[in-house]
Amino acid sequence: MKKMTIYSALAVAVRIILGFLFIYASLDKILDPPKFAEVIYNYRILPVELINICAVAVPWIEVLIGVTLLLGIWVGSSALLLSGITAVFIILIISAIVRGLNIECGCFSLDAEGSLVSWKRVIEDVFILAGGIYLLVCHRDSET
Amino acid sequence: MRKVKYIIASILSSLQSVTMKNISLSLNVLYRSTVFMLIAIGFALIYNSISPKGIKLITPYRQVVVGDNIYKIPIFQPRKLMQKSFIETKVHAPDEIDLKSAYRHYTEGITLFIDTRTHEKYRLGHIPRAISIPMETFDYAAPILTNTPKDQKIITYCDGEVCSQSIDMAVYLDELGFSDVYFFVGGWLQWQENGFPLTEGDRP
Repeated sequence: MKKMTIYSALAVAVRIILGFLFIYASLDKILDPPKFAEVIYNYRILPVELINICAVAVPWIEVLIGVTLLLGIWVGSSALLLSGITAVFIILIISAIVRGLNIECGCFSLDAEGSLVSWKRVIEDVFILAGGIYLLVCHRDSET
Repeated sequence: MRKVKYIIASILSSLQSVTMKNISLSLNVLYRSTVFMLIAIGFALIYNSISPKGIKLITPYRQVVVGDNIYKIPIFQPRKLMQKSFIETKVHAPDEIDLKSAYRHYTEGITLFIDTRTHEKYRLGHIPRAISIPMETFDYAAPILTNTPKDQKIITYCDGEVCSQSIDMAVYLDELGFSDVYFFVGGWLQWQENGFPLTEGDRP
């Protein structure tokens, strides 16, 4: 058994925080797919036809990322997907801000007013991305 | 813009440091990521097919032709609520009007303006005399509509160019038999930006 270093303790903490965060973020979207589809539509990026399939799949990818991070299973792969998905979110939010869209972010909850796209959301996501990359580095070769 | 460039640069450099620092992702991680995605999509499809709020996988939409423009208006409703598939339904199109003509109609005072945004947004500010019918809670049998003569000139609006409720509403009104329906593309944002009259509160 390896002795637990401060680094591995940090990795466990990051893993658990991100795990809870992703599960929390997916709940509203899983409960109300039509609403989430509308949020995606408002970004005006995807072709109309593809919106629903994304609204169905994305929350489940998030939930699986959250569960695997919490349980410590397949952390490397989970962190890779987390980083990828968060990078996409960052690009989407920045593109919405640059185009002057005053739309709902759809980041964590689907409440209309409190969660519009903003630089604050971008910074939050950059922190999440940093956490994901850190986990990826820690677990890049791991079997678990 | 500088801020954007800075943030993009910092994201790129952090990604680079992962790949550059002699770190090769093990194939195992990549392979498992793919399996992971497939499992998630599997769960998603199963849940979507049994959930009462499940939606059609390919977004149904109405196609509205206005002049040379074709608008695809998606319909976001649980699969069970959709009585028929609206896919590629072509609807007779209400016309779009610009800020100038919207203002002209406003000053003439005959046209009925319909604010299709939420009640909260309406309360914070709207075009004077406009009535509030949020698209979210649209009801075909609303008294305000059944009491309005079918030849009444109507202009619908929402936030601005990026919202679609005004077009949706215009299409519905058109289906209900109203013959003189328009939607104001620039919407509330453009109206406000140009300093035209506005009013607050629950009443028109």
